[in-house]
Amino acid sequence: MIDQEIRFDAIVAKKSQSMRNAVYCVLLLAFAGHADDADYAIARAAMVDEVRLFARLARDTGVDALDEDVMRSLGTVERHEFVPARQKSFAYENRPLPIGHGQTISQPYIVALMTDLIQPGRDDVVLEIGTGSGYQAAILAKLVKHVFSIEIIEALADESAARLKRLGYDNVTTRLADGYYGWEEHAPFDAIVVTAAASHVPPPLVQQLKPGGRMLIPVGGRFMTQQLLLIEKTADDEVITRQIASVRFVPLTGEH
Amino acid sequence: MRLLFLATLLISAAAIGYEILLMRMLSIVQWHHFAYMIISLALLGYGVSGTFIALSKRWLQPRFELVFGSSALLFSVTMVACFVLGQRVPFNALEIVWNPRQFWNLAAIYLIYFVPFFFAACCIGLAFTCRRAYISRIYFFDLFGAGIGAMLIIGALFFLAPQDALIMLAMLALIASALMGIRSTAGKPLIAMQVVCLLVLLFGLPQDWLGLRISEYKALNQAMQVVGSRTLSVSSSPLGVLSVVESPRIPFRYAPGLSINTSFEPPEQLAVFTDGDGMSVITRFDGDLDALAYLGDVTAALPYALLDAPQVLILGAGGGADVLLALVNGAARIDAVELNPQMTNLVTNTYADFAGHLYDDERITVHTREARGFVGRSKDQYDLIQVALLDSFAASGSGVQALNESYLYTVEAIQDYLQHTAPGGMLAITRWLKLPPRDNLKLVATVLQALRQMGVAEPGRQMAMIRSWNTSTLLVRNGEFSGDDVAAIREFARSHSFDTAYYPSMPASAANRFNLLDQPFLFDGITALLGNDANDFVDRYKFHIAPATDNKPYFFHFFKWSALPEVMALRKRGGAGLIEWGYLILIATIVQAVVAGVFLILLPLSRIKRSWPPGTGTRMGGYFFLLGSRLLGYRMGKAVREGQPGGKGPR
Repeated sequence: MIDQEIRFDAIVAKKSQSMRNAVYCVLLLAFAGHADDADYAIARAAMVDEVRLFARLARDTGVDALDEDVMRSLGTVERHEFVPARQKSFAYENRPLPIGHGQTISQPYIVALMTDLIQPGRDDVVLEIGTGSGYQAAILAKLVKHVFSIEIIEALADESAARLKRLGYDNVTTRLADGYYGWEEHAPFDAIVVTAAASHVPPPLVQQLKPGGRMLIPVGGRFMTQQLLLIEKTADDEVITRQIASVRFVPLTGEH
Repeated sequence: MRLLFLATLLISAAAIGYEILLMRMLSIVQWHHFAYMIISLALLGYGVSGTFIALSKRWLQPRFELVFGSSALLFSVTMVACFVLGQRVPFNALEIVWNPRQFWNLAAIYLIYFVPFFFAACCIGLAFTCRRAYISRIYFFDLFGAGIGAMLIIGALFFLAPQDALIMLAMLALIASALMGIRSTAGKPLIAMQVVCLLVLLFGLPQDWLGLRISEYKALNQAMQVVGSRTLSVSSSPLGVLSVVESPRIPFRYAPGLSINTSFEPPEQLAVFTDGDGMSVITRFDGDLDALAYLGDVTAALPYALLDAPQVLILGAGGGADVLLALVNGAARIDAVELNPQMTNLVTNTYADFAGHLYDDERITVHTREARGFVGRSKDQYDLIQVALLDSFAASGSGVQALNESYLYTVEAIQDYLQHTAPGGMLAITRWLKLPPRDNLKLVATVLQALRQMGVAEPGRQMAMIRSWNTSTLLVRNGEFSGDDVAAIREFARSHSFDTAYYPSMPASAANRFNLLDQPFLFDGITALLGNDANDFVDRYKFHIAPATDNKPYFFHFFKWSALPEVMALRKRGGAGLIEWGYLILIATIVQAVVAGVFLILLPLSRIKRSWPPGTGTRMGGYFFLLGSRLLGYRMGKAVREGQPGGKGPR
């Protein structure tokens, strides 16, 4: 196990270097105002490679490797379209970025992990609470039938709705509303992603989850997700919650 | 000479006032740990001014009054200008883990705030250097002024908004400048500038310039982004700026630790933010306890499942959330202790109708006191002492509070609490739950040490803990838990889908049933802390979970330097939440202070020809280094203790 990990770390170090080089090229071009779609595509591919590698190291999440469809979606959605102009040159770094209004676009690794954990299916209808920039909705839109997304910050709701429309995400419907009560007209949902902070799990959302459905809530402050809460509703309507560390971290020294 | 003494007193008062005010202001716009940075800035200012005076003494001496007056004027101008400028640096402390550019922004802030202290120190240093015959009296007025300044600013913050207090301090420096300007033979341009400065301070500063630009990532600004939210009131004191916010379209519904099974919804709430963070709520109450039924479904309600009509002491009443919790769960009498009188005032006066005149209830007595001080002096015995969960999850998880002292969660505090519980009574403490656990295990370690010191042979028989997905509630009983108690704990947990983390004789199979963790971290951790290898476990744990004591009251300090490389490497793999970024700021501040000290103090000084015998420099340097370190250590301890909300000593 340890040997394997060391090997992984070596691969990560090597890959990370080539990824960084690709990203730096795009950075330079972006700063010079010359980055085009092809440059962004190179950086995006490098980012996806990095996320894929990191996922293999994070077995505590219960995920050995992220679903290839999820990775394809991550490699297709143009993250640079979802960040403010001054952040575009950092769009394909594997880190959260500020998007204004005190909000962030999540770290690509966390987005991929969350998307993987809700196990999206082609015919699924997904509810998202907290549209933000619309990036998570766009990732989901490539994988499911329809995404309904609710935002509570007016400016973000307007911006993300316009952005998703401009980029052709026709299977995403957004609205400015109180996410606590979900979206009754379109319930039940196969999956629910709550990206806004919550002190507790809103009971109406649990009710709007289909039997066999999954709900995911990232827990922690802006820029630093602490853990993920996965809520599964069994076929018998029983609710099971699972706390998932977003990273493999053994709290005791000398144990692996 | 009297004018010089008075001017020295005023400059000293303004300098100390500015130091304390900057700590407060940066606590509001950023976070508390910048207090350390301000102390180093003030001392850097004094150090650099010393070098400047040593290098330019010959030129300065004949122009003493003019230079003193000009420095005082520049102190006055820059303390306002640098605050305005410093707030415009796009520094985001939360991004420091991700973006190295933030270190440069921090450095820019450091250099900007250094400037006013340099000019203040020039005044004092010049007085010492150029009027040596009166040095003892100047020193007296310097210290006297510092004392007055500290008292003045703390008093002023009860009545003035921080930015108005800043203007007040700038006026003090301006008066000092005017006093010396009168004496100066070449003072006409100086007096003209003083008049201009006075007019600008009084009438010319746009409010927008001075407004506090609170980090958009602090809870207050996050709440204000929500559609329909608005600030109802702001009140200020040295204990913090309290902002009350309503959000009618998207209600707050703040209920940490609420069961996933619940069918109840919290009623309308007003959020109260202290220094833009640390949200507590005032819940709408009309006397109908059924409307607050959700309070029966939180982990903090556990002790009430074991106690019948208890006499309750609540430490940290805040907006009254825990008082309502006690009422809903059948408390017979409630003593609620709150440190901040302005917080109590919100519930008793400003929003009394909204809160249903809660504190007028004859069962409730509110005490505006520091919690430990209250417990220490109390002669009462309680069935339940409840320590409220007043800090935010994000703050407790990211190292924001790592450097804060807290006397609520120390070994001595736990002993105090237990000594005030009636036989069979209990202490209940609810904390946020993070993975891997930190607070929760540190709290258990602290409780175990407290019990052992009290002579309890089997502390594990007096302790129980349950957890939801985001909180844990620890019970410590005055006496052993009975079989019925354990049955009640298990039933409460089961019926709410909470997990039992520990109870006497708990089998491993009873852990981790409802909210599944990868491993039963809490059960394993508590079992290890109760075992013979507890010290080894604490040493090997990658977070600092050794008990907090009154001498080392850093309950929120979980960081171990040895873990830093690992957690930094994990940040891109989803491990950013493991990093306590408060420490990164601290490291950056130390580096900045050393670099600035070398370039602004030591290197320029090396140009001076020394006339002392060989070896003297090293001895003298060592002497003053140790003296300075001692002073710094003392000042940091005092300033940080006095400068933070609720950060008073234990008595």
